Amino acid sequence: MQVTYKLLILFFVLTIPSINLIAEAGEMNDTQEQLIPPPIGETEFSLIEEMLATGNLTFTDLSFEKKWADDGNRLSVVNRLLDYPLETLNYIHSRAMEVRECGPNLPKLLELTAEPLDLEPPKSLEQEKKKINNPRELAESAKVLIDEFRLRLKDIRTKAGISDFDFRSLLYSLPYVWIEEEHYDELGYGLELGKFVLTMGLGDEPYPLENVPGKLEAEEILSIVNRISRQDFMGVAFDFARRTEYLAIQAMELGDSFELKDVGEFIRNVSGTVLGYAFDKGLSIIIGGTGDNSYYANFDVIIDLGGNDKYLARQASGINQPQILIDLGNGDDVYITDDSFAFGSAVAGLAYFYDDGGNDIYKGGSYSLGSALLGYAFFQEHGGNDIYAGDVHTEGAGTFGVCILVDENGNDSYNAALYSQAFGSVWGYGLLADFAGNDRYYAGGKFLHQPLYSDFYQSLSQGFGFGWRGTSSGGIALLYDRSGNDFFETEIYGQGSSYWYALGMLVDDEGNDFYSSVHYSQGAGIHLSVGGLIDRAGKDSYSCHYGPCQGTAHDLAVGVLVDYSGEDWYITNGVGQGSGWTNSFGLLLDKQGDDAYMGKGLGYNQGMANETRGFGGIGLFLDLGGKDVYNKGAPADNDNLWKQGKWGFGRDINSENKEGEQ
Amino acid sequence: MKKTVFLVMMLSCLLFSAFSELSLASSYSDTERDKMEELWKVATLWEVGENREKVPKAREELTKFGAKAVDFILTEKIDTIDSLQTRAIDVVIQAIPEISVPSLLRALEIETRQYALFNIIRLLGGLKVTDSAPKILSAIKEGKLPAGTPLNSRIKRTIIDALGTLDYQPAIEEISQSLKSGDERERLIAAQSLSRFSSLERVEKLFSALGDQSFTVRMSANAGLVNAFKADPEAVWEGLSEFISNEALKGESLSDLKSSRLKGEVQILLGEIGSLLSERITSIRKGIPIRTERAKEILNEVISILEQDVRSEIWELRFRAVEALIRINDGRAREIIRELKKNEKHPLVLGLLLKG
Repeated sequence: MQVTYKLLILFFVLTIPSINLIAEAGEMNDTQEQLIPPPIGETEFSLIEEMLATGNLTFTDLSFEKKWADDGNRLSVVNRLLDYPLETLNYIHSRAMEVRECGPNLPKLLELTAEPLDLEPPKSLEQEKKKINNPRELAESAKVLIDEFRLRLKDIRTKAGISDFDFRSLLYSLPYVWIEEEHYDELGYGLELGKFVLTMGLGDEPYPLENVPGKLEAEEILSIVNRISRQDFMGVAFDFARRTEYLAIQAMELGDSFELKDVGEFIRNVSGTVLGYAFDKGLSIIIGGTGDNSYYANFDVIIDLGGNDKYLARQASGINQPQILIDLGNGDDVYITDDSFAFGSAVAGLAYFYDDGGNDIYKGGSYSLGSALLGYAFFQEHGGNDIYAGDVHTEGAGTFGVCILVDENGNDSYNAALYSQAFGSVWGYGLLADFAGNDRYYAGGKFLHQPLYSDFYQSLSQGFGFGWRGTSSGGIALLYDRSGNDFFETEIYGQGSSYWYALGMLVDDEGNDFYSSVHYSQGAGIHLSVGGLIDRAGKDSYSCHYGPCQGTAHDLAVGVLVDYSGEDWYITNGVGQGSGWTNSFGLLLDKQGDDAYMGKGLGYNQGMANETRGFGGIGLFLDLGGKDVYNKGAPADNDNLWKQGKWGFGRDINSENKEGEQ
Repeated sequence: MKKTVFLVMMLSCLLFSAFSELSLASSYSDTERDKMEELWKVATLWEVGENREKVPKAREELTKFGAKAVDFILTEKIDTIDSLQTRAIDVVIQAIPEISVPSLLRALEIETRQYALFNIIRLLGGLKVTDSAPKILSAIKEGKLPAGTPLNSRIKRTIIDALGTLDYQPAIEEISQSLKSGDERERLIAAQSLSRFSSLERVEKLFSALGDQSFTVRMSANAGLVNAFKADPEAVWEGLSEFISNEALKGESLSDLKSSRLKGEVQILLGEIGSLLSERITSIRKGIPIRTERAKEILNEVISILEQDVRSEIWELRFRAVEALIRINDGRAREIIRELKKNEKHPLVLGLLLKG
């Protein structure tokens, strides 16, 4: 059994290839081919095996049962990583490497989410590639596309056998999933979101608000949602992304080649040059000119060919329908609305948002700026220094669906309140991939974590997977930041962490980064869940006021953190730094650099495990090089092996090694 | 006429009370129910922050309803696994055992809801209601509960746990069968349950769990044996030394994983036992119940076994033996450690020796 397990692990470790990466000019090395090995290679594997052996443990022991509660909608990867926690870092590594290799290719990125969600990758069908010669044809093509995907969305619902009444109840209830009614007033929404969604979602078949059905309970929502073929829905979303992408390419070519003329007609709710439009059967398509435009209302499709534009209403908002917004040119655009469900938001629908560049400002309400709520939302920002300000379930949030937010360049600032910046819940995947720039991520400041704290706010963001405790397992979240000196700020829950049968991941490849939080963060699995953080380079600072954090898990969970290089600082006041708290598995692995570790609660950090329910957990701390500093009184030291509790192990080796040496 | 009405009323009352006895029909009015429901909402909040004061108060208020509160819980609230709910249930039910125990026993007979049965059995164990033991043991044997509900794994584990708390000796054999279960949680609960029995019979069963494939089970068995040793050192040592002399522990080959796990666990156990003995010999505090001379004899035997291990070719065995000797920390153990420092080559073992 032991031999078999070892072989399995080795197979897993060795079959994850070191990814060949051609370094970009000015980043790593001009010509040298770079290799990024997986976090757990043969060396780490052997060292961990030795540490375990000192306590009469083997790899098999890491598979102690953590799935103590039953629920529905469990993803197999969550089960797998709870059972084989040592695979977690390499798994996260390979997911992030896929994103890195893929780059800002939305359909391809969607494909990558299939396997983790227990789906087959959608099949690429040959698509018709009709050349578009003028704005009128562009509007017509957009209309055809929207028409087709409206029907395909309806087919999904019909195939699922969801009655009109159930569907209305569902539409009405979905927004309540993440915003409790008691918070409505303080959020200042005015109109209840459910009614809003219902009205918007059934726009072509008006439904009297007085007939609004009652709010569904979580189990009722699940019973309806679970009838939908997730595989079919993903297939439709994949086709939608590819077709829309082609439309965008055609629009770009059109913008470059055609002698563009204003249609010379007044179009309500649009200012500036309009090159084409289509209004038919409740559809509204606008092709804006290369100059500055302002859009004051929601349209099914807006394709703007350039200029510094203003978008001042709920747009790219696929509520029970597909909607598209494509802004081309490098203009500095402004996207501002107080409405929820704006700028790349799907609710039982599809949304596609693309901005070609420029320094843009985004402000939306909840379920905006990349949000999929029983749907698929695609949000792509090509470049520029952008400012994002969302609210709840925003900036790469997926529940019952997938949201992909990609920002390719620039120093960006992401702001949100809750469930944001790569958030994945039931049957959901939330991906935020930022490929360059010095970025700042902040989530919190709106909902106090009461009754536990009256002075800290909830975040549940930044690579956060979330399940519905006792009812349904959660989904997957990945926040991937490729380069730059980044600031990650959360309060309660965040930064590669998760709650209840979910998987939360944060991967940062380059730069000196700052991770700041209060509770449950930085590679933390909380309550039967899996969380991980990988930082591959730079002088990084990790600070967490209370823990569990920094490669630590609590309550039958798995939490892991690896930092590849640089002089790093780790500070926590609570449980952290490779701890298996309340029957969990935690691992902190720092591969290189002269690091500093500070754990205020002596005995609760740097490789420890406590005992509850009559048994323990396993906590591993491993520093593979550099002259490190540990806080006074801790058993940890350079070139040392130590134990805390019965199954907390710490090991520090190669203190004389300088950065880059093996 | 008045007499007839009175008789009818009396008869109705008698019938009602008899029915209540059998069916747990509610004994509280709608108004009382509303009040209890209101209290329940607060009693089941998360007891942190500003809730720290109001949650215990609500539970206390609920308890004041006495039999009605018990009835309310057993009828309307017991069928749950929500931890906040079960905490409130435990507090109220355990606060008034004179009322709740008869009701729990009645409920055990008639209840069919899965989570309700789980809670009822858990509470009967917690309240040490020994009268319930034969009934719940037979549920394991028959594979169903008294009212016919099939036994599921959750309830089975709860029963195993409760039988240990109740120290119901006839259950030891049945529980030890669960140490062979494919379900790790069942093995874990069985090891923990066996540890709570007072009979020496448990010791032999726990030895077998020391080689379990999961450390959670091994750890529970080990802790159970340490506790058993604290209570009756001589008898437990007798069993342990016989067990150690078994074939499985003689060889040093680690090719058989179970043997190696077992050997490692025995080393850890010897460290614990040795440390207790050492403390008994050197400390003026009243330690484990054993004569000093006998304690010295056993400690010598313990160290001798570990001394063999420190000469092993296998570094893991040496490491854990050294760790156990450091834990024992008596003169002879220290002498062995001093000697070992001279020749040890393995960095981890050497590091441990130098620290020791």
